[in-house]
Amino acid sequence: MDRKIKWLLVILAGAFVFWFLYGQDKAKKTTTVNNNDSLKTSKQPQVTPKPDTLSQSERVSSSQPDSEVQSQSVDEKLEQWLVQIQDRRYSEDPTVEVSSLAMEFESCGNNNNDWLFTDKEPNEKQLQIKNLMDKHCKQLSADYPLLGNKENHPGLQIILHQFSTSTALGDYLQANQFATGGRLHTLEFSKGLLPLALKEKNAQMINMAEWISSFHIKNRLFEEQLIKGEHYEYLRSIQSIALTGLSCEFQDGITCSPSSRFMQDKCFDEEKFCGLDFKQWYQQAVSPGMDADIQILKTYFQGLVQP
Amino acid sequence: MRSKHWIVLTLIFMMVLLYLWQQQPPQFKNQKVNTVIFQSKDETQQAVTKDAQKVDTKATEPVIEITETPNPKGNNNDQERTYLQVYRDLQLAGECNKFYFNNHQYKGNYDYTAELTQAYRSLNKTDDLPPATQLDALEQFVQSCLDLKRAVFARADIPELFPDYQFAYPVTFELRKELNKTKPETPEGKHLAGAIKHSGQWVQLFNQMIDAATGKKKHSSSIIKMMREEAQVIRDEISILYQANPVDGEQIALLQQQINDLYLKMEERQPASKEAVQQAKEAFLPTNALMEKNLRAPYPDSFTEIIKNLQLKSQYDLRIGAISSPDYWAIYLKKYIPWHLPPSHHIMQQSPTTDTDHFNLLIESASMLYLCYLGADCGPNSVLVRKYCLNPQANFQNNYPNACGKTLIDFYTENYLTPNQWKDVSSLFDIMVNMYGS
Repeated sequence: MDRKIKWLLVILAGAFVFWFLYGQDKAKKTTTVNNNDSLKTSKQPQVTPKPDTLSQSERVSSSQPDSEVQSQSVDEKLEQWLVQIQDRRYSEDPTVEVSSLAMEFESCGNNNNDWLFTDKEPNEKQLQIKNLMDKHCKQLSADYPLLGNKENHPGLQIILHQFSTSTALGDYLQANQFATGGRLHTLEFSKGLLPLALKEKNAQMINMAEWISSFHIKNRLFEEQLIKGEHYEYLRSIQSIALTGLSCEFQDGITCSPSSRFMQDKCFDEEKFCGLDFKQWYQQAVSPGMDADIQILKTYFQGLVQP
Repeated sequence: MRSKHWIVLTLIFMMVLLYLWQQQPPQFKNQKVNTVIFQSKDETQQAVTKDAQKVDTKATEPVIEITETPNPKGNNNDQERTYLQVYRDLQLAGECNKFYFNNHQYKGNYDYTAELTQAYRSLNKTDDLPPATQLDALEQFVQSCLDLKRAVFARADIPELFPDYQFAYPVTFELRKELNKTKPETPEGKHLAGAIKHSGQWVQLFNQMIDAATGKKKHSSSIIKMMREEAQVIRDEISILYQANPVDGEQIALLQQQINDLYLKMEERQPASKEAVQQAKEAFLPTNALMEKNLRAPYPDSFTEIIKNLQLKSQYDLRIGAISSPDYWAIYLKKYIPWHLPPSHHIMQQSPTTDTDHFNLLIESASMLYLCYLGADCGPNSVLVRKYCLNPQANFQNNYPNACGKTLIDFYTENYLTPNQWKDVSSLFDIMVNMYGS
C-alpha cells in the first residue's frame, strides 16, 4: 500500500512539473523568448574589410613580354604617337599631352555613346548634342588614329612610361602610373594631381581629378572643416561644379562646351540644358547658397597651387 | 521511508514550484509603442539662416506620451487605440519587417549589427566600428520593432513564434486589419482616413489613365500567362545548357533572345484611343484636385500620405524628394501624360534653381522641416531622424551617425547643412509654407 502511495505521489509530482514547464499559457513563453532575444551580441561583428587595393586583374600589367619583339613594337608605337602629337594642344610635356588626349577621348565613350540612351529615347535637342559629340569624337579619332584604335588605346598604358616628361605634372603621372595597387583610381592620386593640373592650367587633368574623386560618395579634395556640412551628395556636387568651373578657363573651355562630358550629362538628364555651355547652365541652375559654397571651394583649390 | 514522509516531501516540492511560478515577471510590460510630440503651431516660425535666429520647433507644450499596454489574452480592460496610433504603428512595421524573426528572407539569421558595420566601413573606408551612438540607436530601434511585434501578436492572439506563417509580413497584415476596423475620432485622424481613402482612389484612376494613354494591352491575360509559361520553359532549357561542357553560348544567346521577344510581345499594345484617354483624364482630375487641396491641412501624416502618391514615391520613402531624376518612370510619364505636374514641380518653379538634381538636394531637407513645422515628431527617436542616423530602409547605406541622439533641427544646423545650404533650404521651406501652410 505504501508503495502504491509513493508511486502515486511521484506521478503527481511529475505531472505537476510537466504542467509547470509545458502546460502554461504559451504567451508566458515570451519571457523566455525575451531572454533569448538578447539584442546585445556578445561578440564583435565579423566583417572583413575590403582591401583598399585593386584586384590583380585591374592592375596595369607590368609583366615584361618577349623583349625583342615587344620592344620593337613599343618603339614603333612610341614613334607613331610622337608623330601624332607634334601639334600640341595641352602641353609640351609628351606624357601630359597624351594623358590629356586620352581624357578628352573618355568623353567619347570609347567611340560609342549609344549606351547613354539604353533606357530612354533621346529627343531632338538631345540628338543634336549627341551628334555634336559624335562629330567631335570622330574628328579626334581622325587627328589621333592611335587614340581610336582599339588595339592601341588599351596599350597606351603599357607604353606611357616610354614618354618623356618635362613638368612636375608629367613626372607625377609617370610615378603613379605603375605604383603598387594601381593608384590611378584613388582619392590620394586625385589630391596630388589637382594642384599640379591647376598650375599647368590643364583642363583635362583638372577634369580627371574631379572624375576620379567622384567614384566614392565621400571622396573630398578639400578639408572637412572648410565647408561645415555633411550632406554627401551636396558636397560631391559642389566639388564637381567648382572643379569644372575652374577647368573652363583653360584650353578655350573645352571641358565646358555644350558637348563636354559635364554638359552632355545635363542635357541627357534635362532637355532644357541642351545646347548650353557650363556658364550658361550655371546661371540658371545654381542657387545663391550653393554658389557661395562653390566660390569657397574654388578659392581653396586655387590656393593649392604652389608658385 | 514512511509514506507520510513522501507525502510531506511531495507537498513541499509542489509548494516550491508554485512559489517560483508566482515570482515570474509579468507577461507584458507597459510598452511605449509610440510617442507623439505636439508642437506649437506658431505660424510666425519660419526657417531662417544660421546667421540669424535658428528655427525653434522644439515643443513649447509639454510632450504628451501616448503609452500602450498591449492586451494580454483574456484581459477585457482594453485601452482603445486611436486611428493615428495604429497608422503610425503600421508605418513603423514597414520599417521593421526585416528584423522580425519569421521574416521570410532572414528567418531570424539577420545580423543587423554586422550589416550596419559593413555599411559604415564601406562608406568611411575604415576598419573601425560604427560609433556607439549609432549602435545604441540601432539596438533601440530593433527593440522597438520587437516590442511592436509582441504587442500586435498579443492583440491578435497569434503565437509568438508563429512557425507557419501564412504570409510574409504578419505584423503589417494585422495592423492593416486593425486600421480598417478602427474609427478615427479626432480631426487629424479623420483627415488621415480621408487622405488614405482618396489616395487609393487616386492610384486606381491614375493607373486607368496610364492604361488608356498607353493603349490597351493587345493580348488577353490568359495569352500573356501562356507566354510567361513559355518563357519559363525556355529558361529551364538555358539552365540545362549551362550545365553542359562546353557551354553552347550561341544557343543560349538565341534562347535568351526568344525570351526577350516574348516579353516584348507581352507588352504589345493597341493604339491609344483619344476618347478613352480624355475620359480617363476627366475622371482623374477631380480626385487629383482634391488630393492637392488636402495637402493644405496642418496634419503631417496626411501630408506625407498624400505627397507620396502625388510624387509617385515608394510608400516607405518619407522624402518628398522632388521630381525624380529622369529615370524610366519619369520619362514614361512625361511621354504619356505630359500635363501631369507633381507638387514638387510647382515648388521648383518658384525656387532659385531650375536644375532638378540641385532641387532634389534641397527639397528633402525643406520637406522634413515642413513636417516638423506641421507637428511631426522630429525628436531623436523619430522616424525622420532615424532615416539619417541609420537609414534602415536602404540597408544602412549612406547614413549619418552624427544624427543619432539629436533632434532633426539640431542635426541640420550642427552637421548636415552648410550655412549657405541652409539659406537655400530655408527659402524652399518658406515656399512650402506659403503654398501649403494653413
